[in-house]
Order: sequence, then C-alpha cells, then structure tokens
Amino acid sequence: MAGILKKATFSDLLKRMKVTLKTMFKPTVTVHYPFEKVKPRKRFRGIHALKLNPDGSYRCEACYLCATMCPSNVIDIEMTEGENGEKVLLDFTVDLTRCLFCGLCVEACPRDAIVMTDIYEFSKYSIDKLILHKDDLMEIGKYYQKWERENKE
Amino acid sequence: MGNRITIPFGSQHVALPEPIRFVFQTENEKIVDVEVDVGYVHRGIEKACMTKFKYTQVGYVVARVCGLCAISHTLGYVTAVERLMNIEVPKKALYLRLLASELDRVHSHLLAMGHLAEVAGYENLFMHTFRDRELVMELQELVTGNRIQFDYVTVGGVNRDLTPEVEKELREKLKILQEKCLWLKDVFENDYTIKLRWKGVGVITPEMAIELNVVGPPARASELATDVRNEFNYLPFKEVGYKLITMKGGDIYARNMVRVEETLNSLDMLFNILDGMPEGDIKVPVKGLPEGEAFVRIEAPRGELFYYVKGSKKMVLDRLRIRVPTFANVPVMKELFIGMDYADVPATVISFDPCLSCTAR
Repeated sequence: MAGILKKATFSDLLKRMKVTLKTMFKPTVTVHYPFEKVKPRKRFRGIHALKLNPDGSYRCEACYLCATMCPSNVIDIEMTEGENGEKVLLDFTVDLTRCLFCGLCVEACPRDAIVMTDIYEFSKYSIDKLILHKDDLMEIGKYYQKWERENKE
Repeated sequence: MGNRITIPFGSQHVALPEPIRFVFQTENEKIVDVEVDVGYVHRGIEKACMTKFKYTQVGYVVARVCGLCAISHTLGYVTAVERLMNIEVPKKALYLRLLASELDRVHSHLLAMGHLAEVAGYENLFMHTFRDRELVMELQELVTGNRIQFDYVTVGGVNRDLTPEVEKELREKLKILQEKCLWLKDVFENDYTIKLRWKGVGVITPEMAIELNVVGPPARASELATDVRNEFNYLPFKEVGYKLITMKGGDIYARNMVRVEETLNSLDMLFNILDGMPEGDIKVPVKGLPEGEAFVRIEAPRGELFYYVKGSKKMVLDRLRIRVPTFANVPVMKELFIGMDYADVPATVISFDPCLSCTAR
C-alpha cells in the first residue's frame, strides 16, 4: 500500500529534484585544468632531480645504489677516477620513457642526492628530450631546492 | 521460435570499462549461449617477474598488474616473501599497511557503485559517487604520495611514515567522507528506480555460488560467508573492528548493498586504525634470500586474491603465480547469462566489478 502511494505521489522524484536544485547553486567542483592547477601533495613523486651541495659541488658520489635498485633500468651513471683516486661523476642519465615513478632510487640514496620533484607535466615532442642528462637534472635540482626551502615542515 | 542472432558484446563497449569479449547467441531477446574471451590485455608480468626482476623489486612490478587493487597485489607478494624469509614485521608497519589497504577498498567500492549507477542509466548518481571518490584519491596521495600507484608496501615494512599533520587531515577528510557515504547509502537503499531496475536481476543462489566458487562481494551477496580477511591471518583486521557482511538475495541490488556496507565498515576501521596506531619502527632491514614455497590469500576489493611464490636461494624467483578474483568469477557470469534478457547484460557484468587487466596480466 505504501509502495503504491509512493508511486502515485512521486515522492522519490521530488527527493531527487531537491538534490539537483541544491547542487545547481553550489560552486562547481571541477578544475579547469590547463588554466587552474591542483598543487600536488608533499609526498608526490614527480620527475627526478639531483641536488647540489651549498658550495656548488655534486652531492652524488656515483655509488650506483640507485641504479641497482631501479626495477626498470632507468638510471645510468658514468664515472671516472679523479686525481686523488676519488670517484668523479661524468654523466647521470635518467630515462623518463621507462620510469615507473616508484621512488626506490630516492630511498636507496645514502646521501640524499637524487630526489623527486613535484613536476608532473613533462611531455615533450621528441623522445630524446625525455632522456635527462646531468645538466638538466641539476637545473631541476635548483628548482627543487627552492621548493624545499619554501615547503619546510 | 525466433531467429538465432549472434551479438558480440565487447571488447570495446560503452558499458564496459575494460576489454572483455562476450559473444551471445540470442533467440529473440533471450540469451541461449555465450562465449567469453578475457585475454585482451596480456602483458606477461608473471614471466617478467621470474626472469628480469630481483625479488625485492617484484613487489613494485606486480603493483602494475591492476590499477584499482594495486595495494592488494603488492601486499600479497610481500606477505608471501616475508613468510618465506621469516621476517617479523613491526606492528606499526602492519597498521600502516592496513590503512592503505582499507583506503584502497573504499576507493574501489565507490568506483564500482558509481559504474553500476551509470549502467542503470542514473548518470547523476554516478557523478555524485565519483565526486566523493575524489576525496579518497586525495587522501591516498596525502598518505602514500600518489593517487593510484602507491608503491607504499615493501618487503619488511612500509616506505613512508604517518606525520601528525597528515593524520589530522586524514581524520577531517574521513569525517566528511563518512557523511557522504551515509547519504549515498540512503540513496542506494531507498531509491525506487534503482530497486525496480536491480531487484531480482542476475540472481546467484547460494548453491550456485558454492558450486561455481564465487568470491568477494558477489559471494557475500548470496549469503556465502567467505571473506579472506576473516579466514586468513595476514593483517590484524579483527583488532580494528572488522565485520563480516552478508546479504540475502544474490541479485545486483544485494551485491551493490554489500559494497555500500563494506565501504562504511572500512571507514569505521580507518578511524579505529588511526586511534590505535602503535609506536615503533616502520621498516626492518631484510637479509637473506627467499627459499621454499608460500601460498598467500588476500582479500582484494573484488574478492580472494591468491599468490604463490617459489624461490630457491636466488635473487630471482623460480615461480610466481597470481590468481585474481575476476578470473574466479567468470564461470558464474557465463552461467548467469543463459536465459537472461540481453538488456540486463551490462548491469550484470558491471555488478561483478570486473577487472580485466588483473585477469590477463
């Protein structure tokens, strides 16, 4: 009996129209992406960067820990021996076409040299631009260190 | 007797989120025969795990099997390896794993509910569900660092700790989410249209569920008390207020209601996890290599996920076998379709919440 009454009076329909009317005058929740951007969280894993010491020298010691940890062989390091027998970093390559963005390299690094930034827009017109070399990574590193100072906990 | 017509459904179809292919033989509107093909997204992950990757890396690779239950796959693999190597995982790491896995369940169930509303022709409800789902996605990014591929769990613990700010925001957002989920429950429970569309469609009887080995929410919707969280001890679910939820009916409506109730239970559990978070380390160092065989069962959002790991003191595993919940549910789908109206097919398929990238791997 109650079911028939419900059917006849369209109470369900009225209930639904109430929701529609309510949402109609609320501000929209969608973000107009290329013009507005949502800021990623602090833990977000974007593209890689290499940090520099305060005096401008490389933090990376070419210990190959990140390269061995990487599940998909993204990182490639070239190094030679310096004058006093220490390791000198020649080139540090990150192949973004293969990267999973799992963050294992960051955890493996004993000297906090390789980090992940909050950059998520890195599409390029050609593939070879997606392979980042040492200088590119340093540039991003400068951006990251600025970001890090601003977002200190 | 009408003509026999062959209707292909999939591999690309408006109602399907993922590529599965059914070929229906219909007589007028009734289906008389059906063929299923699931292998459209095969990527060879099992083979890759046995040849290319070290055992510490495999956890991150198997997470790529499926987007929605990423945490369950990693959890399954990691638990299996830890049992092989006799690693005692700290209590706090277990709780953090529980947190991530329940957040994942909430997001997956909300997605399933939304899609189900969409195939019933209820576009507004779909939008509402997905708007609320966005909240969970944000929380996942907050806790783990990414919206879908978490890479949170590792052999021996978890990767990132919970800071006080994160915990505060989690509590605030979860409270909002709980209100929204209660509202959604009210809608799904009382809406006349939904009841009319879903009640009595695609009924799985309890006998059928036992015979064809249905798993997950579809099984619980037909009064089968099967839940790996209850049966297999891989995370401390009982400490945080886990409830086994079963429903009567076994139709699409019951399957959806099981998902709604489980979402609410998961939210309750999330609050309990945050309240009872123990102190301690989040990770222990791992030494040695896996040796022997291990079977692990995990309750993924879609049902029982099964992992078999075999190692012989090498960096690379000998065998890794994954059996996913959707694969176990395909036979009952086939059985259900025979004798059903063709118009009910999309809703029935979606009510199982099929995940085909899991199934083909």
